[in-house]
Formats: sequence, structure tokens, C-alpha cells
Amino acid sequence: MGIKTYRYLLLMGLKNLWKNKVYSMSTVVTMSVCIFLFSLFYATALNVDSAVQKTEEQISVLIFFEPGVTDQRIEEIGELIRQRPEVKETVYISAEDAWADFQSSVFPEEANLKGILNEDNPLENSDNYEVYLNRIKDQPSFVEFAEGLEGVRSVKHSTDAVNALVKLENVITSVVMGMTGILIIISAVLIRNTLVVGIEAQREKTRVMRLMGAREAFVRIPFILEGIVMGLIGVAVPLAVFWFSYRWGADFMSKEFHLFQDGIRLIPLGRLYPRMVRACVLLGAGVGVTGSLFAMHKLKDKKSRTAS
Amino acid sequence: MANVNENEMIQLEHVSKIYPTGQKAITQLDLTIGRGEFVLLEGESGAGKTTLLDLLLKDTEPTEGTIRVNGIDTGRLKKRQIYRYRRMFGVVFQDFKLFSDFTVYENVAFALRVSETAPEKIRGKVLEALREVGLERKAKLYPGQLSGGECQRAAVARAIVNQPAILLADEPTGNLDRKNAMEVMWLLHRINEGGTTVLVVSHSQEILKNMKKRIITLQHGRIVKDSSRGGYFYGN
Repeated sequence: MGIKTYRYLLLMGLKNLWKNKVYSMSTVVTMSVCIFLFSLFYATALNVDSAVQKTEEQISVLIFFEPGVTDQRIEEIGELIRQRPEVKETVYISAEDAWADFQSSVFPEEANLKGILNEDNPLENSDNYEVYLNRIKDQPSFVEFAEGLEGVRSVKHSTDAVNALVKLENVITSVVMGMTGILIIISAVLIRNTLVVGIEAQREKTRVMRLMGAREAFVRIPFILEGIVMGLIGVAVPLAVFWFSYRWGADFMSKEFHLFQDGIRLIPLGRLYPRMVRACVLLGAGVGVTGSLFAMHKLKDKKSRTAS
Repeated sequence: MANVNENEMIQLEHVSKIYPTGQKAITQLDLTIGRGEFVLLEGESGAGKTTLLDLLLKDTEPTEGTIRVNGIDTGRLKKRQIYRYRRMFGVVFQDFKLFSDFTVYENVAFALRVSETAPEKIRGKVLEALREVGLERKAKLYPGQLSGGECQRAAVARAIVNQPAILLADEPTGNLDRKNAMEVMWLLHRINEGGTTVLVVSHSQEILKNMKKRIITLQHGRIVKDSSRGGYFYGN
């Protein structure tokens, strides 16, 4: 079929949509609500994921060495750690660095300690590797590995924080996936039902088309396009609403919670929106096509007539 | 293997059709219709007339027997070939089956769009078909604005716009008054004179008498009379 035939079929689909406008409208509105809810869940998931990533960047595992371990062994341990795929960055902190860091953070006035501790370093034997991991959930296996290394005295890590973050991320991901599944089903069933109403209303027309020698594609494409158009409108509306809501929400958060600005700042709209558009368009088109395909079996020519 | 005669447009051999309900619509039917012939099909309700048209259109499958149309054995057609096979036919229905949301022009053009005619040829062909049925001035009207006779003439225009080899008309005058009925039959006669094979289902005794064409009478799915063979005969 040529491009002009497809254009004609698209117009037929739009005409069907208009003829069936009450059902089409209610489907688009319900679908818009579903997709808007999805966009909220998805935005929440992305923001939680971003917050978790930020936290991951700050959480490290500290590896301390046995007293008297040689510098060569410390370097070997460093090499073994760096070879691990889950390791993002390793920083070696000597006992002197640790003590200097402690003094500067707890007693900024260095003079206060002079003469009290003389040149003694209370953090002697505190040489350590500060290890940053790519994903926080890899921490338990890495800790187990580090604890098994010869020359390692202890491994300090934040199991509770890790577990809480991983759990939170998992819960949010599961909720988003579950809600997405439910919304897809609701929207697809709605589109299917609307199309079935249209198909039933045009059963005679499709029969005449077939008797005229229409290809199956010619009969079906207007209905499929109708479903896709409903899906796309059902996506465009919530995406527009989301744009304004999120912008308002981000402004509100930064003004009202400015004290915690760094902790709860939302992902900028410019960075989040392209992902949101992709996800919603895929969802809308997918729902439209799925609903249309479910409705297609109704297009089969039913012959229950008797002889005349 | 059956003989394929080039003068034969439609050939049915031992065709039966039994519906899933058990109703026998057609029983062991043998029928030959020549190329360019005009045939009237009559019979009471349930005689199998419409089933016969459905079988020819491959809108239903025979339970047994062979149907050959224009040399094509319909039993050998694959599903994906049926649409092309159906483009050999033009179909006229008793209740017109025009699309109420399309103008007369659009209704006729639709048959060409369905058969994927090049868009630039559509206008010329539609106007020619409308001229042939005398509706060129009503092209922009909707079916609801036409009389019954005009609707049926529009339906005929839609059926012939593709210049089909065979025109099937299922009680085309059933909803028309006498004058309009005769006009439609005259139109079908003219189309037949152009070389199109025409098969018309009709109940009207007046039409059957006046048309002076071959008349086939069906009863309980069997041919009980064929005027081309003269008089009655039973069984096949």
C-alpha cells in the first residue's frame, strides 16, 4: 500500500475516533490519569535512585592493617582491592594523615593540642584504605573479601545504612513496577473496550470492505491507528501536566526546605524530562498497540447467518 | 480433472453447503454461467440464493464440491489471495449498504481506495461511474439526502467503478417501488451489455417476466428450473 493509502487510513481512524468521541474521550481522560500517576511514581523512583547514588558516593569501607605489616604488603593489598570490579576508588590514608585530618576537623585551632600530645600520634596503626564502591549493594561481598585478606586487622563498614538504602530502593522499584503493570493493564483494557465498541458499530462496514476486496491491513489499520492516537493523546496530556507540576514542586522544595537543600534537591527538570517523555511515550504507544491488538479478534468476520 | 472452458465464467460442480447448525443450504448443485451472461436467480426464502452468492464471493466455504470462477478454483485460493480474487466482483445489496457518513462521491471512491487504485485515477473513474448511473449531479450529497432508487443507483456505481468481471446483486430491487426497480434493472442490463457477467437474485415476478433473461429457480438448495434448459427438471 502506498503512502497516500496510509494517509487515507489515518484519516479514517481519526474519523472513527470522532464518531466514537464519548468513549474515546473517557478513555483518553482515564488513561491520562493513569499515565500521570505513572509519571509521579517514576519521578519518585528516579529521585530516590539519584539520592541513593549520591549517598553511595559518600559511603566508604575502611580497611585497617595488622600492626607491623610491611609497606610492601599494604601496597599488595591496595592492588588486590583495586582489581575488584565493584571498586570505584581507593584512597590510602596514612596514620599521620588520619591524625592531621582529625585535628583539623575536631580542633581547628592546632595550637590547642600542641604541648599536650607533643609529637605522639594517638592514631598510630590507623593507616587504612578508604574504598568507594560502584554500587552500595555490593558492600557485603566486598567486606567479606577484604576481611579474608592477610594483613588486614579490621574492616569498618556501615551495614545498617547500606541495608536501609538498598531496601528503600528495592521497595520503590517494586512499587513503581507493580503500579506500572496495573496502569498498563487498565489502560490497555480501556482502549480495547473503546475499539470494540467502534468495531461492533462498524461491523457491516468492515464486511462490505472485505467483499469489495480490501486487504486485511486496510480493514485493521484504521482501528490500530485509532488506538495509537488515543494512546498518544493519553500521554501528551499527562506529560504537559507533569512538566508544570514538577517545576512547581521543585521550586516549592527549594524554597520551603532550603535548609536541607543539598539533601532533598530534586533532579533538575531538564535532566529528568527526556527520560520521562521516553518512558511515557513507550508506555502510551505500547498500551495503544496492545489494546488495539486485543480488540482485533473482534474484527474477524463472523458468519452466523442461515441460508436464504 | 474438470474441463476449463473459456466461455464459462462461473462453474459449480456437486457443490453442497451445510451450516454448522445442520441446515442444508445448497445440495449437490451443478451450475454453469457463461461469460457475459445475465442470470436471474429466484427462489423462496431459505432456498439458498444468498448462500450461493456468498460461496461465489468466498465469504463462506462449500462443504463439498468445486467452484470455479473465471478459471480460478476457489478451493485452492490461499487466505492471503482472497482479497485479490474478490476484486473480480462488484456487489449490490438489497439495503444498499452505502456508508451514511460518506458522500455519494466518497462512497463510490471508497471501492477504488479499497482496491488500491492510484489516487490520481480515482476522480475520473468515479465521475464516469456516476454518469453511467445518472447521479453525477448528486455526487456531493449524502445517502440520507437521496431517494431509495438513487441510493441503489449509487450502490451500483460503487459496484461497477472497478469494472468488475462479475456483478452480483442480492435483491437489488427489494426496497424499491416499481418504477425505481425497473430503472435499476435496466441499468444492470446496460452494464451486462458492456460485457459484465451479471447474476441477480430477485423475488419480483414482474422483473423475472419482463427481463427476458435466463432464470434459475432454487428450492431447498437445489436447482428446480433453469429457463436455458427449458421447463422444469429435478435433481442434478
